[in-house]
Amino acid sequence: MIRFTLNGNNYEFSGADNTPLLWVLRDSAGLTGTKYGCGTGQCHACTVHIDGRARRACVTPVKSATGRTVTTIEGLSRDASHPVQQAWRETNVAQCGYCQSGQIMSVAAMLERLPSPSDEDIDREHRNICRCGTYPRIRKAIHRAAELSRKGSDDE
Amino acid sequence: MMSELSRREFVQLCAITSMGLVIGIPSPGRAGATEKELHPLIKIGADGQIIIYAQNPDMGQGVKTALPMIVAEELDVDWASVKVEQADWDARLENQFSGGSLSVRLNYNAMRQAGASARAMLLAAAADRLKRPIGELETQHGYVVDRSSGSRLSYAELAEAAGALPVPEAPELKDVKKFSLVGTSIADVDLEPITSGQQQYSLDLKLPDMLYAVVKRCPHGDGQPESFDTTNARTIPGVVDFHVLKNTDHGGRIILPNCPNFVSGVAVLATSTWAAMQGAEALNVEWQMPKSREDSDELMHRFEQALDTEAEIVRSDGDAAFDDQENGIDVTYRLPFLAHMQMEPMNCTAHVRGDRAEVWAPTQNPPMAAEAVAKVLEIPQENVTIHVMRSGGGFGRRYYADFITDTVLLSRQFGRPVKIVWSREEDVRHGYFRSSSAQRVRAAAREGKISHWHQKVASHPREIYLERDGSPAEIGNYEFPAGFIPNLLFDYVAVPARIPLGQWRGTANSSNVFVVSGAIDELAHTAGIDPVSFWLGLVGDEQFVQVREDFNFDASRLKNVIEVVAEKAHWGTPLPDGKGRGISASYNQGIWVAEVAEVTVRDGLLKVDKITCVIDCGLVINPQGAVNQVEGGIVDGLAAALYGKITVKDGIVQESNFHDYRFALMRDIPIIDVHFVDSSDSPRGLGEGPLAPVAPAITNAIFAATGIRVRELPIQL
Repeated sequence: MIRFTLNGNNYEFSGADNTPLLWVLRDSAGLTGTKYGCGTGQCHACTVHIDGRARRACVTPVKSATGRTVTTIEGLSRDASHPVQQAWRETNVAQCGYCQSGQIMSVAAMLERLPSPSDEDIDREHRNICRCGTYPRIRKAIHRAAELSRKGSDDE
Repeated sequence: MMSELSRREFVQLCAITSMGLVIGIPSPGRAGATEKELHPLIKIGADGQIIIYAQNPDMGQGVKTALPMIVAEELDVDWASVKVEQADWDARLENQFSGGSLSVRLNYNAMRQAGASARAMLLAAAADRLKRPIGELETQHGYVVDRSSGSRLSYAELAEAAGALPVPEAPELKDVKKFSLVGTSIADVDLEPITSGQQQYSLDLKLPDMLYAVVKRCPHGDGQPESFDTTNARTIPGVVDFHVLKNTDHGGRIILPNCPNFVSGVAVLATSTWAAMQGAEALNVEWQMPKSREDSDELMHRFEQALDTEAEIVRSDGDAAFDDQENGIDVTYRLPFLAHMQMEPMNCTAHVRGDRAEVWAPTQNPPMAAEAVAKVLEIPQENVTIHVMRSGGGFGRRYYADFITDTVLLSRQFGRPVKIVWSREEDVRHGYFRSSSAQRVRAAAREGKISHWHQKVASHPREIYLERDGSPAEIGNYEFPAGFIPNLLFDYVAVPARIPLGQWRGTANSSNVFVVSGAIDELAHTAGIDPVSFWLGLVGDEQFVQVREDFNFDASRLKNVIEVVAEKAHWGTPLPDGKGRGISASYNQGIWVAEVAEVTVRDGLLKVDKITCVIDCGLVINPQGAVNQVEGGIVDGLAAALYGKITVKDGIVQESNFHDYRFALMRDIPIIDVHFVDSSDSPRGLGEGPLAPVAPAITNAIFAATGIRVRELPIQL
């Protein structure tokens, strides 16, 4: 039995311990916001947070989550109010939208490390594929999310 | 204007059911007890909720928002009171497909008529209720108002009576100048669930008692499973059963004209996706492979050789041969096969019960899906329900029903709902690719203008692969620069091959525009004339150029986008060494586009710094969505120019995932500067048109920066 914290709740998985976390989340836990895109850790559509760091769920065996805290797009915030989610809505980032939960999760983790990323930082750090090509809006939304986060922390 | 569509493009895209738009037919299956249907696309609830059905599939191009906006505009309701739902396949609707950038272009009038008809019925119901002449009444944001007394009735109060009224044949349409919703920026209707992870895509579906299936398919699309061994696969927990799927038992490789059937293989059925994937991995299958085994490099040689053989004449004006070689070019361009790589891998869910089939599919083409399902199951089409799911990208890959026919067969076989999931590797291997071609241009300019143009195209055409009627020529007799050059010859050689072909974003146009804009740039430099001036000289000063009896080309709109893009991109201002600008322009997929690329080439490394794009697409329905589409098309064009190539060896696709079929990443993305020409002319689609000019703008800029002429994609320096 694999036990870990999933979006703030205890979660138990009794299947094969080498099952990729992606399929545990999607098929067993019913959290389908985390997407399958490549299965090889390249497109980053499956990005989740493990102990706060961005990880590719499609190449993460569920056993490596044992005892850790896993956060998916569904658990990133209450009412989709995380600054990155807000910025994504203000900027109308999405086209098909399929990669966007992975985008949001990657950017949320990046902003924890780099609260005010420059364009060069974004070029270096951003690895998620958006096949629709929403990159110009993603860049704009990253800057906006950084601004919203700063405002939020000023208010506290 | 329909005549601007090539006959081939039109026949191909409209080869679907075409029952007329029937308004007001009661639809007991759809309208709830508290909702009244005024039109197949419009329901009004007793609580005032306005439901507008999005007629066409949305794969990210924004029509789930744009088409209902047009309906809401004519219906005269506040957007905030509208709930948009995706329409199932509905035989009463026309043009219910997304392809060829046609969703808005073909349905603009029908959407206006839908909204205006319902509005007229509501007005008539109010006139009856208030005993007032209709002329004394008007609508205001969901209400009918009596001008003299000021008394108001909400649409909700009137819906029941309005739904019982006859449908006006020619309802009065709004003056376009008075549009208040169309032309404003509206957020995508699914933006909120997308950002919260709640948006349901087809791959996310889970039905009670559903089996997950992965099909181990023959590596060659024409092969068949001969025998298989399940010993290892059976040991995987969760694996339930196996089933052989042979397309030869179910209509063959092509199930309908222009629609491939599934690729044969062995299905592994399981209680989870991962178990099914592992089961497919562990399954041993012996394949019966076809004799013909293509090689894409060898095929390119055959295309090149074909350029020296006799060709089918597509268009001939004057005499395209010329003697003064010093004023001319004789060059060959080469284009690769391209894959779609839509983010959501192919998948489909179905539940077949008796002679009825219910399908949940990320399809671009619901009518074709229904027809193919009916055919493969041998049931009437009216027994088929197609739920159209929001697609994680499409780009043409989801136009066919190859991913649907096997799903319904498996569900029938096992008597349970079945979801087939494709691995990314299967998705890449079994794509329907943009055709590869070799194109030779022999052309000359005299006194600064192009006098002769012979464009000869050799390719392996879709028409033959997909068993479709019509000329296979991948260059149309209407295509630019036809009509602009006195001596012009387009001809075509078909080189049949067994590599699967399909729709791509712009399909043949994405190739032809590269060749045309590249060759024009070459002629400009040969003539020693600035490329923008040379383009303007070619396009000329006449407003209309008659290209074909039924097609007057509005050259003034092409001239305008070229002039504006030159200005916006600061064409002609000096650039440092190693940098250059290139221009391309086109009329393709119904819109006029000009683009300028600015690039840097240092130590053999290319960086695209900026792309400026000016578009005339007529009326823009949703400006924010339109800009998003154009930016996306430009990124797609850039990625294809830099990386896109499918390689086939021994009949088998060699690429398998994003590591060997790369897509652009953030670091590749230039500044993208998009401008729309202000226009109230009928709207056109934006999905494809902005893509094609990207590659030649870049390669022309590379020439300006380095003197290196790139005539093959993807770009290699």
